[in-house]
Amino acid sequence: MSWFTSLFRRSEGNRAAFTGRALVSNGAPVAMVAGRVRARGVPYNLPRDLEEMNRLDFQHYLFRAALKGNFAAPVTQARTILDVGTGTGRWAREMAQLFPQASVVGLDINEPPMDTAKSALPEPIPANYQFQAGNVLEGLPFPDQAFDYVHMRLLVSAIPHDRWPRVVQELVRVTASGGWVESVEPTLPAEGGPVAEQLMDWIRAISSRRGVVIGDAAHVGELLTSVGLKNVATQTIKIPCGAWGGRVGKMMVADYFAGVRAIRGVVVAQGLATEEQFDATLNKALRDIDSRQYRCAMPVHIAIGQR
Amino acid sequence: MQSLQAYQALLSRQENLAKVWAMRAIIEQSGGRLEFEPPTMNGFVVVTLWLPQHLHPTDFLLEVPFYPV
Repeated sequence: MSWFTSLFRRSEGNRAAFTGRALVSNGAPVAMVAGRVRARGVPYNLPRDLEEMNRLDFQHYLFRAALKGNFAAPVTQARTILDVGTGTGRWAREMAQLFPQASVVGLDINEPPMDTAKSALPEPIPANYQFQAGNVLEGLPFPDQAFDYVHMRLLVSAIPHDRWPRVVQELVRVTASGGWVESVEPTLPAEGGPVAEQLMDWIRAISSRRGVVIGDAAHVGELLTSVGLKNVATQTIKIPCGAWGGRVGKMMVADYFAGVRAIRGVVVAQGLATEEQFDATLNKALRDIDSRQYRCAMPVHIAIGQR
Repeated sequence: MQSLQAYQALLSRQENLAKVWAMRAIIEQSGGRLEFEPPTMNGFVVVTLWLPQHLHPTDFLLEVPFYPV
């Protein structure tokens, strides 16, 4: 009997430790918390249900449009590509199609729903794409220098402030000599007016309770430099959020406020606002942003570096 | 009875689980408590650590990604 089996025998009778009934979804522990299915054991506050998967797919298309492509690093001949925090796997599968000679791995704590329902897919999953379960916070399950290109996007709300250096070290560890690391992380939308700022304060507060600092997104380039990468370059692109930004601005409102609605239950459960206060604030912020009185935008911080 | 702060980590690596398990007695002697949930089919284990307010997970386990819940 391994020590691992022994461990659980000795732990018999343990109870679920967190609010909400413990469940398992696609191999990852989840719980119904504040009305939505959420991952357990990680600081990520957003849900992990089908509604959120649809939002993440929409967000992928939004980012691809706003950033004018799927990547910024000068990768042309990558043979191995890793997407850390792959979410729905949309980015990784598109990269597998774009780089048919490459082996593309999407890593996350649970398998994207599309991967578990392959027969129902209207689109084929590329043969050169595969999913790997793993939690970047405890290290990547790959040997040193395994990938030519390592990409991580939209994980700022999942990485506590004190874990960022270790996460970046892991990204670099699994990157081959001469290969590239790319990080794409947003900070909170700004210049949406005082009511929108109240929403952002709530997001900061629920993140802070789990050790997450959204502003860390702006400093990944510094971390890439600190671990010795070459040719580090950073760029911040402000994605408009509101009618003033045209099609992309409207997409950004739809995406961002769907995300804000998804954390409503958490904000209420933590006593930061009542449901009525939250809804009134959200509706007022949406009106402000659509009024063209404000020019709200979400900064997206892109950092690349070569090993 | 002193109030305890809860922390969680989602672990799948045997070496990390072993590190946590090895600290169990010391944590309990410090007034803390550990709970391990059964692994999921992906091999993930939710580990919950309760510690007195004056202690932090990094006092015991620097490498393990506990966060406050």
